[in-house]
Amino acid sequence: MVGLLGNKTKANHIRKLQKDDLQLTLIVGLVSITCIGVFLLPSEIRNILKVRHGVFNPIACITASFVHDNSLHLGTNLCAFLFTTLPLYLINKRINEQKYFLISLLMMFLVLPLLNYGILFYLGIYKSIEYGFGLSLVCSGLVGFTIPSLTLYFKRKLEKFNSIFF
Amino acid sequence: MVLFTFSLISYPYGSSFEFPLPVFCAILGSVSGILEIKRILNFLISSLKQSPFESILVIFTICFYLYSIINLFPSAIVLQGGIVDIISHYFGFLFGTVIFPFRYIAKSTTKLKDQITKILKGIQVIVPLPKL
Repeated sequence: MVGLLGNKTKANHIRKLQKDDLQLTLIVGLVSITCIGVFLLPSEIRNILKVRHGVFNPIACITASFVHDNSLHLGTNLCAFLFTTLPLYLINKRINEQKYFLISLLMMFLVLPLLNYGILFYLGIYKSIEYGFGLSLVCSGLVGFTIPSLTLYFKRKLEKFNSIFF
Repeated sequence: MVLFTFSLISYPYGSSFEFPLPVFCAILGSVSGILEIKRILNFLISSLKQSPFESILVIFTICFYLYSIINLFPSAIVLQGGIVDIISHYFGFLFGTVIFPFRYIAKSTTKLKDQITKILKGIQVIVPLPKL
């Protein structure tokens, strides 16, 4: 009976992990496809999706993250996005914080651009630049997120390590 | 790590400050790092034998973090005076770092909710409320 219950909880845990993996794959895939798709659009449409100075458009704030003007910009941003998202997800998965990572990632796509462009463009701090766009804002958010992830990882792991060796 | 990052970010501004801020940050970062680095190195060496993938992953993340810090805040842009170009990067980086306490706030609120429900249940046991 106990063994059966154990197997059930194990199966549930594996199912949950697979669900999280699927969610991450979905987010990464959707972001990459959207960025490439938007890049292939005509420049007039891309300009509509960008954030403009002095005009606060919440939808444009979110869509601006997927707009890139040249292939080099798109390539470097997508590479940086993949190289930060995947290791960070795996690290958070090791400490069972993958859900927290996924929520934070969504916040970086939805809340961070709103705050950033809202403050910088609407309040007129960003006067010298007419447009705001690119995935680098999310990438910088993910780079910043490395600090809490590694701190939490080392805290959890070192606690275990010290209890064994010291 | 935070102090070391600040030293990397503030490096291009070093000449504009009378007090060498990057040097100060780097010294503080190194001192605080030395205090912890022995434990971290011990842990990484021991885990390299047990789970090499995990240690390689951590080492890669740290290396990529340092590399992207240099790339996100390029000194060429800062030195040329086009600081507005990277204000968003600073903002994003700050947001990513600050997002950490929200997890604890969320956890503590759920704990608080649990405690409140426990207290309410306890009160209900002592003083049974009439059922409607």
